[in-house]
Amino acid sequence: MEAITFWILAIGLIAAAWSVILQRNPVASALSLVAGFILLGILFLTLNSSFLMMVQIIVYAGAVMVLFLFIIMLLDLKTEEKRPVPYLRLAVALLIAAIFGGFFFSALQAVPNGHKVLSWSQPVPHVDAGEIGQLLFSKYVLPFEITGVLLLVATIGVIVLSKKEIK
Amino acid sequence: MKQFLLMPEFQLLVWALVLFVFDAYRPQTKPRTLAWLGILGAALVLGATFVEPLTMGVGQYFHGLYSVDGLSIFFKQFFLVTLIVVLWMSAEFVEVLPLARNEFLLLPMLTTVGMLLLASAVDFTTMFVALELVTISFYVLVAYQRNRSASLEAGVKYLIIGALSTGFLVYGIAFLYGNAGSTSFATILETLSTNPLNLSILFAMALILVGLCFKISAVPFHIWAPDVYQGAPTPVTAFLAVGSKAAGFVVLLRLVFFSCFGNPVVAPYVSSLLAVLAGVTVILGTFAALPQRNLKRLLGYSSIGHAGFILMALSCLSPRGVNAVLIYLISYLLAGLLAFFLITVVSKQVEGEELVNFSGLSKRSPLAAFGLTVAFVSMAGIPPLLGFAGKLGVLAAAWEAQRYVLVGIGVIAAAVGLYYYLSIVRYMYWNEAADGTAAVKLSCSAKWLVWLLVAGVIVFGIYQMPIATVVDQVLLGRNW
Repeated sequence: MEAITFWILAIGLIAAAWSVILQRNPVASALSLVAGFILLGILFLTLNSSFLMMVQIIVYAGAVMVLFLFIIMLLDLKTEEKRPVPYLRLAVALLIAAIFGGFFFSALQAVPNGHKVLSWSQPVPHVDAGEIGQLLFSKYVLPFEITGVLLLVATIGVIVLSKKEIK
Repeated sequence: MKQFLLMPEFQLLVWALVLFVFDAYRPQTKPRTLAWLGILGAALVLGATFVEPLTMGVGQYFHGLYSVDGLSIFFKQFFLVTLIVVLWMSAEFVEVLPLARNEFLLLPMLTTVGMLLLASAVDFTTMFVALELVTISFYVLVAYQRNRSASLEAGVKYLIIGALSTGFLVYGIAFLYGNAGSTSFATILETLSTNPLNLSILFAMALILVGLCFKISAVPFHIWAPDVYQGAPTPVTAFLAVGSKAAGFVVLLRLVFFSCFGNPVVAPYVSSLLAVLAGVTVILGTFAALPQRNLKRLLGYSSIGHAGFILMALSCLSPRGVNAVLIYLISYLLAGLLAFFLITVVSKQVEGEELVNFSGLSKRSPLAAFGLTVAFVSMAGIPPLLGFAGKLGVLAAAWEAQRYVLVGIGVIAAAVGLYYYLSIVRYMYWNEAADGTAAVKLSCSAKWLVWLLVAGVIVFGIYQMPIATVVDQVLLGRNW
């Protein structure tokens, strides 16, 4: 059962990812990205990470995507024109991707208990929001606080870079 | 809570936030005043780092995420000195900016918070968050001059390359975590030493090394450096060249000696790999600098060359090598910041950063020409100055590690470097000024800083005891 769910989700995810790149209309691309985010969220759910799923849906499919669509609408982007396919560049890109993918898979196989990582025979421990919160505010409080500073820097940066000229 | 109060990161952060609020309520505050307040804060924190072993105590804090040791204290002092000079430089530069001048002086303080934390990071979570804090604030700083297309271009290039390198890094960390089951540097080293190596660990290490090589601009991951260095506002270029580079090296030092790269089986291969990277980086950085006619771009290439020299010392994996790394960094800190400071001040008045703009500078401002000469002669590695001690230490370490090819490359690169550094000096002293002969004026505070840095380069070059003592403190009581 889990295997079937996984494969359906995985194929859906890959299709959504392809669609993001191949769609010529930016709005359609963005909506494919939403589909990908939601499918990934469901995948997290099958791994017993309900909290991660909620975060994925709220932050990515919700906030980030609305922002994307907003910007696309504001910029009034036109549908991309059809250009000739650069075959040579495509071939080189595919070759590099294939080499990297090969390394990736052999590396994944080599992880201790890697066959278990790849299979679904092992029950996954359930992690809830409370445990993650406990960890964030006890063991990982330092990186957590610094993430706050990071967001502050990003906020200030955006304001500074988009500020209107004052005459 | 007590630990937070004692951390230099936290102290600097609080100071920066207070200044942000101060600026919000008193927007008419002059940028110069704000810069001096920032420098005051950084100087106080710098003073506090000297007593850090007493107040906080050497050891690990926050469940092994944060370490206070010789290496961390050395690099914290390094970053704070860099911050002080960069703020000093920004105070001279800030009038060029059309708007948001005050934030330009406060953002580097937050960047430094990240750098300080990076010096203490002994766990991949802390390391990654701190590195991102540094990188993201640099995205903003590099693109700060929105009215110049060069600055925007540099910003976009730095953003894309930075995101790519972060991707490599986090990919590698994920694989390492999957293998070792921990993000702590020490635990990873322990786990990897007891278990056999496998392909995924090597894959992880390769990815992490690539990510860090982007940060220190080692060849072949240097392509972003010249454009970004040229386009960014000059104080930011200086901060990138000195601060960001040292930040990459402190992480590399920790990983090489206390984490995954220190695995006894892998170490010899890591050493050879770093040596090859160092050789290529030195060659490219030196020779590509030859045809450059823009001073900032030239210094961009020369900083790639300097990164190569530091990598050369690091690749020896010996105490002598670490010693050379630290001394080279100090010499680059003083000479590099001196050069960038004078370029900031002078190019504002001659309206250009091309070599031609600097011709005849000796008549227009003898002090600026003298300061730049001292900086370049030190970078070239001519004896009485500190740069010579740096280069000599690197070559001695490489010789001791029996890497004779590297020594050969280093000597040749130093000779070639001599040519282009001295050609700048020739422009300043022997060529006639191309555009106008009006005197270039240095403000009183600028003169002070120039004399301080010049004195540092010359005095420490002749009398090296203080530096040697500081560096020995770092090496003391650690099994390298």
